[in-house]
Amino acid sequence: MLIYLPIAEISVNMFIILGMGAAIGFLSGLLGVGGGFLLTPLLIFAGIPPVAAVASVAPQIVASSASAALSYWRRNLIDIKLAAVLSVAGIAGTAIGIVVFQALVQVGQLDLIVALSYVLFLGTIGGLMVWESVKAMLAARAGQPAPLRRTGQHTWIHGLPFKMRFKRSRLYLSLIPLALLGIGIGMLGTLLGIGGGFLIVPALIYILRVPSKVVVGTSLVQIVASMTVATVLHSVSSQSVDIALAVILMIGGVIGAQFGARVGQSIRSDQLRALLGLLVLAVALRFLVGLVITPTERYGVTLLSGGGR
Amino acid sequence: MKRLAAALFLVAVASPAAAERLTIALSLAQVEIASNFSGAPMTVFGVIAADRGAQPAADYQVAVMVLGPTESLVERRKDRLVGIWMNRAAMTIGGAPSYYALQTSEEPHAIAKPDILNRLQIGLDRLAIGLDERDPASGEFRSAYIRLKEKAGLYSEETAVRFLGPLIFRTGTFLPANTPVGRYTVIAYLFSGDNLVAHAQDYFVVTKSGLEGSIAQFARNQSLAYGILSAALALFVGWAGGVIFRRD
Repeated sequence: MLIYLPIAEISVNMFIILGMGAAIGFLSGLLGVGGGFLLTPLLIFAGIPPVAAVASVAPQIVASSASAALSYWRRNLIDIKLAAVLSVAGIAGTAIGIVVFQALVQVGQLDLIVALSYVLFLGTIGGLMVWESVKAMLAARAGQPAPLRRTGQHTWIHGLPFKMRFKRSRLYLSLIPLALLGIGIGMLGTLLGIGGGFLIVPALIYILRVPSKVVVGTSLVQIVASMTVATVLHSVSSQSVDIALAVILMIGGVIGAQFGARVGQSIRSDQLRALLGLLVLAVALRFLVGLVITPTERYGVTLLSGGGR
Repeated sequence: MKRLAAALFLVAVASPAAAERLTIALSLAQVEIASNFSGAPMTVFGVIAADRGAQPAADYQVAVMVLGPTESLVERRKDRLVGIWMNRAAMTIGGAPSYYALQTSEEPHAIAKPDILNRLQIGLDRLAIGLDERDPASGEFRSAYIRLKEKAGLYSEETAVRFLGPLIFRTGTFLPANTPVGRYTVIAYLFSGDNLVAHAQDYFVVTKSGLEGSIAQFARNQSLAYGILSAALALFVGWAGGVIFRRD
């Protein structure tokens, strides 16, 4: 069934978009990630203009992250104070991201920066994930227990000033790394159409030593806050949030996530992480190929004005 | 407007003893883009009427142009830099029809003199798009632009005018799913003996209708409210999803 997307201004098959939403929802339920970093590329590969894809995934991420955050909230797995600090920083980062986004659209380099960033971030994260989980699997096969995180282990980051106490996480942390992290994730999320969970979760665990129990719920709150603001700002500045597209993705995503979560409970976590890592690497590779091979069409046009729009 | 003025000028000068009148009619006055819009055909009928006492010629030729609203664009070309393809060169297309479909009864060179074809912009090769011609790259940018538009189904030229009788003809074009919204102009030119003898003009409008039209308009005119509502809707869907599929 063809449906005309009013903002993206193209006709798409509704069931293909619904299926994409469901597939990504399934994976996010299975792997416990937001899935924006897979959904935005998929939409771009499917022919949705990158500007509209990035902007319209923002409300989709709000919906999927809000529903997940709600379930963590009920189970009391959110450090509210930490989430508030990260959210404020995330919203600031979102505002910066919008300005950069607009500037890149103006000079016609948004697609390039999006592709390069995906290659860089997804390549690095995906590589690390695969490496870590392969190590863990090998260690498990050799009968050794996986190395545990030593709590209370401090790095130079814990020596920075402007400290604040986070009771839920049992941490006494400087606001500087938190602000930088929040701003960075907010900015990247806005620019690339991702929630940034796959970046913020490892950062909170490995760099800031936030207990893994509260990490996911807390980062979800930050993602909801920045992506809510990103939805509004994208609507105002580039007017490219296609709510029809977003709603179809949300519906598919909500349904897919339910099945994913059920399947996810019966798979081991190191295998899950390896799977996720491979997926992330595959997306990075796809973008890299797109950048390197000679394009079939070297020319492209961007509307400046007129055309009755 | 310039095009129309040129046409009127030609009619006035090139055919002092104008003996024909041309009338056209369109199959639709309005094309509505709804959610299931997958393109629409537009048929143009034309009737040639000879003035009282005048004898209709036997060699009528017709060109019908359908022109979409004018737009300006920036065209970019990807070049390789350190192994990566990226947008490098750019040129501005100052003003080009967003849609251009030409139907003729014969190949253009067979229906009128070259200077008339040039002045009326009959043919993709003769279409003015507002490129800076002094730039040596403009030829390449121009042909790439037209190729892109043709591939999108927005530019076309074909010998598709069919005479149903000596003084009546029909032709048609297709407005694809991605056709721009706005006011379209249909101009028909009647030639005889390589000269322009009459012309006629009509309009139709392409609009987004129904929910799609309202959404697009809302997003453009009330962007802040649109953004806040979109965000609220997303939060609501998230909350509803969390409640409906509660797992704990």
